[in-house]
Amino acid sequence: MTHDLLSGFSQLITPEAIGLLIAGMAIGMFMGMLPGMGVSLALSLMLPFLYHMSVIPAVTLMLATQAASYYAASITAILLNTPGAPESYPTTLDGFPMAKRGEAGRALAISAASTWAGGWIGCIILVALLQVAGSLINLFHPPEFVAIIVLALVLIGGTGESTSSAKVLLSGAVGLMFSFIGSDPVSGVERFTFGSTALLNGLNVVPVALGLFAMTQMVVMFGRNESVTGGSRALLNSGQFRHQVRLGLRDTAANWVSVVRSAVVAGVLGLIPGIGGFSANFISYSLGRQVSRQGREFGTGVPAGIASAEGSSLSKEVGSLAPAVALGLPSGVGMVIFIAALAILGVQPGPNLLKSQPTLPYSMMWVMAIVGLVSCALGLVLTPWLSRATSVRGPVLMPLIVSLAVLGSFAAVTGFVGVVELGVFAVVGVVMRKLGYSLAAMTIGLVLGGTFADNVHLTQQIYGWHFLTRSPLADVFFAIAIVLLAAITWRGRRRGEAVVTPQRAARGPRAPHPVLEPVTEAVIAVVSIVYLVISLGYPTDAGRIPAIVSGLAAVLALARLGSWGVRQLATRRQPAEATPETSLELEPELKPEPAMAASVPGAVAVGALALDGAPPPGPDGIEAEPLAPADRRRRIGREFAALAWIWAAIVLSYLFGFQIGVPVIAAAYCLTSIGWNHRWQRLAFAASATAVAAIIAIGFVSLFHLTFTGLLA
Amino acid sequence: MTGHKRFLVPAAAAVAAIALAACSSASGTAEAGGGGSSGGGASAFKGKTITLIAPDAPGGSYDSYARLFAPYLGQELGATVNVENVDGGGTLDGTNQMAAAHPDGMTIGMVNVGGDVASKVEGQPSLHDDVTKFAYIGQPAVLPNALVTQSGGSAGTFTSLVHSSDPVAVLDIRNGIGDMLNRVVFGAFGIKHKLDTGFESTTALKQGFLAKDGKTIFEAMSTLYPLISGSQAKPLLVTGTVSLPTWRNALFGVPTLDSELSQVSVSAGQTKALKEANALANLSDDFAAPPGTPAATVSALRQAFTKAAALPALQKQATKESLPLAFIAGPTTASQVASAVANSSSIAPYVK
Repeated sequence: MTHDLLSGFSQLITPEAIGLLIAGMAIGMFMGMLPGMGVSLALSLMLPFLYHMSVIPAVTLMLATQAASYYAASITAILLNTPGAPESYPTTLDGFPMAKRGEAGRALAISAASTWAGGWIGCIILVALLQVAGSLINLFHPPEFVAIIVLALVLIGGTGESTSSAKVLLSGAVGLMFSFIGSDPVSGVERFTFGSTALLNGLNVVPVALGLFAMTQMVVMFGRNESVTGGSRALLNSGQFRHQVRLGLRDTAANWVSVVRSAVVAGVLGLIPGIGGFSANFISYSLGRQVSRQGREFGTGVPAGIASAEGSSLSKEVGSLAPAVALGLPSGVGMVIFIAALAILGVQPGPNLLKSQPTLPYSMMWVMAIVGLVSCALGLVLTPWLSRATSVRGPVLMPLIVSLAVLGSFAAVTGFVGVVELGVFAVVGVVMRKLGYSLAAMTIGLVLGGTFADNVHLTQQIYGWHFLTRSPLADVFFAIAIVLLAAITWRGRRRGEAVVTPQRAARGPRAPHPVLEPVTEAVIAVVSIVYLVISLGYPTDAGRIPAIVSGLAAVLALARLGSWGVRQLATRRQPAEATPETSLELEPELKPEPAMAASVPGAVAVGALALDGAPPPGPDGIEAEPLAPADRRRRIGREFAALAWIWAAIVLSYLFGFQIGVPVIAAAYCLTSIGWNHRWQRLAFAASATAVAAIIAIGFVSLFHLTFTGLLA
Repeated sequence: MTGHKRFLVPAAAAVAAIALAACSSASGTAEAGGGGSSGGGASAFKGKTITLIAPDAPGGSYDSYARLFAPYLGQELGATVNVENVDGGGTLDGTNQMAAAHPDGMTIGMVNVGGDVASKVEGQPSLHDDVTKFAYIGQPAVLPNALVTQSGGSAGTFTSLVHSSDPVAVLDIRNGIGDMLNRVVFGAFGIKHKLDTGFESTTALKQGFLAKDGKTIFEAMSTLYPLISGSQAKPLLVTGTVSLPTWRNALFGVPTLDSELSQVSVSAGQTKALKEANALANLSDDFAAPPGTPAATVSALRQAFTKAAALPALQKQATKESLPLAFIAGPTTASQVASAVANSSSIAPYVK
């Protein structure tokens, strides 16, 4: 094996391979940073070029792109709360709050170092398990898949993104309900498509995640009319950046346990086709939150949170090489395209590959390892420039991010339905964040729902109820899930008591919004009941699991609605002594925290990620002051305006195509919605933004050969 | 500008745009997508982008053929051919999307006629169109399918399966050629079996097979060859024509459906069903355009595909990828499809 390992490395030492490694890394970093452009687009774009290439250079190009893009996706996740790829969402949970404090450099350094270290640990796992990867598959049968997904849902439900476990459950259930749209793999029946061929393949996670995460964040930033760092110009000098980077590297070293844990978990999950690819980062982060000593502070911008999320990002990709190469089974979308690339190159993955070309898998591993190191080092070098994105006002960023999201959504689905999904889920995301629902639970429900339903069906078909006695590994996973659920519930209760700080106590308890909360729950209940009725009309195999999920969602929503009704009655009987505080702000103002600001050079403001309108307390319990009613109304008005702009971009693109719609809406937006001190500034910015939007749209359409020209064009 | 006005501007823009869209839809004159080539002929494609829908994931046999032909087809037509993967529903999703496209030749696709006909015979509403109405462009080759079991497993031969008293656990993807073959072959030969559907993709099916969740799978040789050559699967039965030398070696001595029919005693009705299934199984991976595509456009596409298939560069790449290539022209494919559809009633008792 040592010989193969060294030979694998030596095959990469050719000018062609080195050149393509650098090119792939550059393309991957660039595409990975852009929301919606992700790894699958970058890799698909390369397939036609592989026909005339030999194996090692082609594999180097593909894997270098893949490895670099997963690291780069975290950069925008940290800086703008807008993950370049859906998998990077967990990084936002601690990376973005740290960036808001003016410590973007520190967060980027933790991300880079954790990704690199995690990736190398993944390489060790790959080397150790490559030869036995074929046998590992015998450990995983449908009951094990069901158990792992249940465990994943329990873990992710405990990310602390929402303050209410009922809302996490409802979010997950709604995500599952969305996942059942399209053809049922068991019976072939179309479900919830209402005759639309565009929905036959179900909802695509890329536009959904862009809508839920990126667009929602744009709405927040437009509403605040400030930069990420809260309006303060965080233009730090190079010395301050260097200090932040050093601090980030020290943080990574201090949190090495989190990095190793995440890397091992993700590396092993990567070995399991169908589970690992997407959910590894979510599971690693959630596990870190449950077992880390700093777990309670996850979500407020702690280094352990970033290390837990990022330790897994490259490791899972390295791990997924094993089933891809040894069995031809891909773990994620990147590996699906990579296997297609191998077919084009005339390489048949499988046990024969390990025998006929024993050095090739190790060359692949070395590409991942080298790119992991170099791209992360490059990321550290670029940190001072990248961090400046946090000092750009939200409204200025909006045309760029919305243009990319609209085009990326179209490309992901190759149809305008993807862009419509983006717009719909932007609205859904805003409502969910306002009311404290969990975006992570919903996304993971959407991603894993299909696999979950298929495996429940297969478990029942193949094993019946005997699976409980025939699958000890599944039993172990189920037992862990039950113990974790109990621990999360218990900790949640303790945490619920802990967040009542003196300031919070003085202001009184936070009450649910008197109108939106019950209206949303009523909508969920009605939709779930309609969904249930439709499900019952399908053949049993196709309708059973959707009916169970929607039934549970309906019961939960009705229970919450009932509870609200009882509260209302009680309130009427006992006139209120104090008016409870309600809030609809997506991200209320937070006071700067002197202690934290002083701890890090360049730290300018404290902000905690507010996902439910109620910011968690800062590290020392300092809480946000509520906005004045007039300011609150103004902010909500701006948030509506942001949503209207997003939809205007969608509608104009539909009418006139991307080449016209995207630049026109960018021009209209820049001329009317961004305040400048001078008229020439407004005009200059509008002209530049329109030009950039036009270049992006025209370049994108040409590059990806998108054929949509618009209804009226 | 006040916050109030800021809200009004985009809202007004959105309302105006929606109104325009509504007017446009009402007039029914507009056309979304596509470049339009109502005139037909190869010149109509020059400088245009053609979408070629592969109804499976990257790496599958449809995807491999689509990507194999795309650059050479583009070269012949002076167009850019963009492969789009629309997987799901055992290829039905991609077929439906192709069938629903504007019939201007700018969107074409690959079709699994055998699977689609079986779905129709079964009475499934999933396929929106009649496959005989598609404009067939050609078929890269007749692709063999094989029934395999795990190497070292208890099922020694196909005959032993026929005589087995224990039900065979059959793993299956719904609505594919394999699904149809499983149902007809196991049903007509009277093999006791338990069909476990629910695998959403070939990847999931292979995974279930390797994890020994069931005993057999019936799939295209392009999917199974790596498993057979890697000694993970043992072939028990083969359908169709095996032209590729490497596949012929891998299937040496394996009985064909026809040879088993002469060995095992089955009724005339069962024999007819098996022959129909065999004919349908030969009709996978066909290139087709949506119903209603102008004859001139179809003719230009047929010529371009035929010329592309004859290019040495394409043939060399096909050999490199282990893809059989013996191009069948569009008119022949169309008549084979019509014949297979007209003679598919005997499979009904097995696929329903």
